[in-house]
Amino acid sequence: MLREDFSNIPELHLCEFKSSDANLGTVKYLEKVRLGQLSSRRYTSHLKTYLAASHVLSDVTLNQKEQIPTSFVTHADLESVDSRYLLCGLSDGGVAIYDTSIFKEGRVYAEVASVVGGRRGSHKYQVDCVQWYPADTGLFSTSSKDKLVKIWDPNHMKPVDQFNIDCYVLHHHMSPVASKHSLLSVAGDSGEVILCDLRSGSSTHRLQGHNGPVQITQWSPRNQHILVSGGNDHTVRMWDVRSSRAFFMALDMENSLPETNSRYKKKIKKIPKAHKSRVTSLCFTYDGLWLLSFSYYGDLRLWNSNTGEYMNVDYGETYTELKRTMRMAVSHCTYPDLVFVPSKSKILVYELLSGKLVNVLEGHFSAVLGVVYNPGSQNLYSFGYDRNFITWIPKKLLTSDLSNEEEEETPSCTGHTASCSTLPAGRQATQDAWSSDED
Amino acid sequence: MENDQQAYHLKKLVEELTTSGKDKLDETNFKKVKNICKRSDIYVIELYRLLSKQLKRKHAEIRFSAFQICDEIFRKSHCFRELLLKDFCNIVDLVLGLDPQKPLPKPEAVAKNLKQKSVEAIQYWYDNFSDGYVTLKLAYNYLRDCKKVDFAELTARTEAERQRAEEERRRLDEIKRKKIVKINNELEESSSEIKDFVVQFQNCFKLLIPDVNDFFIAFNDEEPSCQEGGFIHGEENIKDEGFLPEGSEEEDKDIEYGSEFMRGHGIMKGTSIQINLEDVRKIQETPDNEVVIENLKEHVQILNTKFLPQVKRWEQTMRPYSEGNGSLIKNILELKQLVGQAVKMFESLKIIPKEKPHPTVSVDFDSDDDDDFIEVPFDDPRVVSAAASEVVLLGMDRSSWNTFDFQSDDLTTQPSTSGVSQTYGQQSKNEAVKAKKKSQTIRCPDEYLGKTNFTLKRLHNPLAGLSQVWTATPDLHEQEEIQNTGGVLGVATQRVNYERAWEPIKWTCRAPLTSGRLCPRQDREKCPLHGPIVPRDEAGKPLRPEDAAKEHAARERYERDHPAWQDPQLLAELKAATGIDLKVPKGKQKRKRKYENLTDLRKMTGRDRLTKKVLSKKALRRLNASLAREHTSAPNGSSSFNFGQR
Repeated sequence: MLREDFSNIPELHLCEFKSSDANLGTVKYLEKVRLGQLSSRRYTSHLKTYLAASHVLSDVTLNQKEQIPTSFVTHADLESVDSRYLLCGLSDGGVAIYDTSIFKEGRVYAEVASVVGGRRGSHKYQVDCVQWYPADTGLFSTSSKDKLVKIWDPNHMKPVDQFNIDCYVLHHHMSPVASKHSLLSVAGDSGEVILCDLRSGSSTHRLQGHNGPVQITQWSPRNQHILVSGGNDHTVRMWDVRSSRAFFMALDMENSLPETNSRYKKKIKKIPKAHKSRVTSLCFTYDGLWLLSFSYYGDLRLWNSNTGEYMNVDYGETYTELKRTMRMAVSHCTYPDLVFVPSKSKILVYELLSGKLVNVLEGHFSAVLGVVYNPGSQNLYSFGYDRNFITWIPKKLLTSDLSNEEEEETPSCTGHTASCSTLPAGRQATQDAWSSDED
Repeated sequence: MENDQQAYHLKKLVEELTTSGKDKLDETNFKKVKNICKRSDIYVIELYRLLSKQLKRKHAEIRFSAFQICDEIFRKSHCFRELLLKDFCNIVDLVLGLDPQKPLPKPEAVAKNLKQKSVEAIQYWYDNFSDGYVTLKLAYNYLRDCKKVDFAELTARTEAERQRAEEERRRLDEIKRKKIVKINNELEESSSEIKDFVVQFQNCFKLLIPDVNDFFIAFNDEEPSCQEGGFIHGEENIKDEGFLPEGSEEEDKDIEYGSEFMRGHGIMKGTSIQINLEDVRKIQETPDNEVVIENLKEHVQILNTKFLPQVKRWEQTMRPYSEGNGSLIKNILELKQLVGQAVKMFESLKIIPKEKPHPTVSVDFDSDDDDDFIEVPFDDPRVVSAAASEVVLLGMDRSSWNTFDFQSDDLTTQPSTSGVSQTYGQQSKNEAVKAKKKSQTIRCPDEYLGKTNFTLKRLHNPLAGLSQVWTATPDLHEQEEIQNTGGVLGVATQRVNYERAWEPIKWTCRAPLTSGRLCPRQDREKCPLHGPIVPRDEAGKPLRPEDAAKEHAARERYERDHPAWQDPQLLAELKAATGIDLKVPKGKQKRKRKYENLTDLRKMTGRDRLTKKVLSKKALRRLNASLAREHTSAPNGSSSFNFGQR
């Protein structure tokens, strides 16, 4: 096998992961399911994990080859209803929606709607955060450094409402499970978490406590009233929006069992720190049981979202050079769960609970701003400062590779060139071109 | 086994290819590399490893060659493409130098080439292979959008570089403008002066040799001097002299064959008269035209030393900016031609100096007496013996005596063609007398001390007197002397009169300079630039033939050692333009370098050496110390001043 040869080179050794391992594993599991040793549900999650761990670069992009884009994606969100429409915030203040299920000319996502930066309704500066309304695709929200949070109607591609915030907005979030409220949490530069009510169209109250800017806020997917925020002061705080108190819990990296604020409020002088540096990313798992936090120093930490316990999972070394908020992604309905962490120009894929590095995605050339996981197609979307938008595809979903897999079942080393001949014309470029007259 | 051998072979080939220092890859070697790589991907991987190592070397020529191999193999091998694209970011950093922290290594000309080549190659790769390699597409986008590599113009320049280049251009423009304005002003100021001067010269010249057109006007003019100045005509000229005046009268009429005029002179058909015009320009110097010739010489001197260099300088400075300044350059060239013509005119003139009676030139004081004696050949045995006895008598070295005599002989027999040589003779005589006088007045203290007849003067020990009753003795005078000498005991002391009259130097070196002037240095014996000071004529040529020969030999030697095409300035320009060092290595190389084909990056320039000296730690410390001293002394002065005020 050609790819095996590269492992001779020490620099490249790191990036080689045994995808063939996964192939064999799935076959084994399939056998087990047949025998009744494994539930079919467990099998699917296993399979999904394997798929999610085998992402490879694909050439599906947002733009045509000839087009030179004027802006790049700074934040993206995938709607959770069909996992189909991808909402992208652009660097020039514009917004664009792409349909990830339809490809134009096989390579380019179909653009559903867009507002170019500078046009009426667009943001003044680059869009820092976008989010679909969790319940349906009839609404989405964007925020930017121009102190505005805008609510858009995607059908008309027009802003229908906007919140004027009195400080810079770094991040905002809406609860994915809210049924009793429709609050939008805004992470403000002033050190407050501002709650805006979509129903009344005004900010209801402010959660004060952070010392320095709040980098990120996340609603819990389990409890609609629980909000987590991470800030520049190295703390991660949990709030109950119903209570009039300040945060009810601050995650502590020192003690495995954090003391709840309610009981020891008077005694606690120092708020426990979750990281040694500013918190740049927070992410709940799909089921909401675990919380992941990532800091500027590049340490990824896993917390129990119920108790606030630090799980002490060692994720190895990750690096980052981004001070701004970035977006991590967690796989859905997989076992074991995987987390995709942008680390400089790479994307690291870890097993959530064991901390095992399962894949490194290399393709970007400078810092990756965020990763979005598509639970439907298992694709992964990433965007970064190198102005590239990359779609990562699980390896075996490519039909051409499936045929390769079948060939590999029989231990024959046909090599690459043999299968190349059966491939479409676009693949011709990968062939060797040794001329015969060089003897 | 065979693998190892091939790999080793590959390694050798790559090293040879990358350290050739040439623009193009060596065909045969490269073909061998391709052949090896064709066999198996193992070798491609090995090649990639070798190349990535070479690309990291801090020498632009190595990188350039390595990248050329990369480009070629990239077009050929899929495996190589995959490998390179995996590490694409690093490779691009190494060949494009877009990271300001890691600029491309020297030499600059090659680095520029490398940049150009890599941009072209990446564009080619993108056009041909981007369909198969997503990374390449992404990388291309990244370079285009983020690093602002201009693939349309195939240039890779950062924003800062672009700005700097623009600024540099503007600065050069400004300098150019200033230069042109300055030259324009100078030209305006001095062009009329030059023209006047040339006219003066030409008039003066016409006095000496009338123009053919107004040749005969001179007869009618009240200036007969030029006619009487006496041309030395060739024989033909003499023959024709009678004919020409008449011819001029009937010039327009008929010089056709068979005419009255022709017949009258008995000139047959087909008669051709050869007129040797060479001698026309020979001029005999006479007391009558002496003043004119003197004037002419002066004019030429000024033209040669002042105006010609000036005009040449203008031309030199204007040469790079020729476009758009046609009229200015035309003016300059006109002036140059004018001055050049005048100088050439003078040079074509042969002035035969006046015959003068031999001046009695003598260096020695008693050479006057030489005339009274009969000249006797040196090898006469009687002379030899007499000389030997003389040597014994005078205690003189025979050889020195001989040379001395020869020298005087030389000087007398030397053709003293002009007045200058005569003055030189006198001068040298004076010098000799002066030197003699000098040698009498100035004596080395050693001379005194070394003298045998010098008697040490024993001085009284002053301490000896202490044990005695001190009385006023007649040798009080002596005691004083002791005090004067500082009370050093028992030492022979003598006052040596070491004064010497300082004579201001009245002569200059006067060696001809490239600017056309003469060296104005005033040294006593030896000019640090042009060697011993020898008598020279107005043009700066040595008067004595042996000096002239010596100078000529020195110049020849210099030219042999430094041929014109080895001019350092020219070489530097060539090197900057092409990156090729044409300098012929001088002598043995101190240490043989590993790859002698590559340009040496560690070569020190004069600036480097100066920087090393001027900005060395020691020098800076000294500077700081002196600055600090100044700093501390200044307030002291001011405070005292203040006190004074109060």
